[in-house]
Amino acid sequence: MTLERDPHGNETRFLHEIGRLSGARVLEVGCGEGRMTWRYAEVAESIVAIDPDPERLATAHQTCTAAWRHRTHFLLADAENLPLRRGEFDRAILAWSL
Amino acid sequence: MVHALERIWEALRPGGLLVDVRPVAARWPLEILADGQGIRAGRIDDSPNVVDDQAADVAIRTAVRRRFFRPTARATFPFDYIWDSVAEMSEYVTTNWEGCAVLQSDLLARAYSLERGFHGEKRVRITMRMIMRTYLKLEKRHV
Repeated sequence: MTLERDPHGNETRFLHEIGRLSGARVLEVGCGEGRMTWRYAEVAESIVAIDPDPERLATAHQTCTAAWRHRTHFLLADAENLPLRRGEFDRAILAWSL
Repeated sequence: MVHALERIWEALRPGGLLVDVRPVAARWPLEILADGQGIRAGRIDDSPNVVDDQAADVAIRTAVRRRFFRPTARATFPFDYIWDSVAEMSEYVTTNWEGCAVLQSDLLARAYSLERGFHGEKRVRITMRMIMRTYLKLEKRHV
């Protein structure tokens, strides 16, 4: 199966334009398999991406490129039980997850 | 949902930004792409998603009313899903969009009929309507 998602890159463009993710410490809630994460990983300072589904999270972890691995962390968690310090992030993305 | 927004508020630094990205129910069009154009088969039933949309909107409005966040920007845009065939699209929607969209049998039949009508290269597209909103973290005033 060949599936293309957002081939014109609209989501990526708006994510950068109004999300202003360059140089940011980002919390992504509902990262799934990392589809959205890879659209901004290059410019973020660091990323903590959470998802409650262990299989999807494992896929995200496996497909993370070596260049981003040291600053991209995947956690099994949901937004109501965030295992994180207060005031840790510049941006929080609700990735199709609210 | 409001509780989750409170946890996210805590995780953000002062002046941090919340970005809410999600599809909205808007009877997304289903088209066959052939000969350089899109031929509309109809619109899929995304009404099961309406309840979730409304609940999410209520949660955000509550967080704004309690002065956890202030809206700062908003954009809507199309988000295309493109498959090689109607059969692949149907399988994907059934497997992955359970609870948010339904392919009605008459729509599926029209899509198959259109697909059969073209002998060259063709693909299948569903265009979601997306909304992206940003919210600035405020000092909490009301709980």
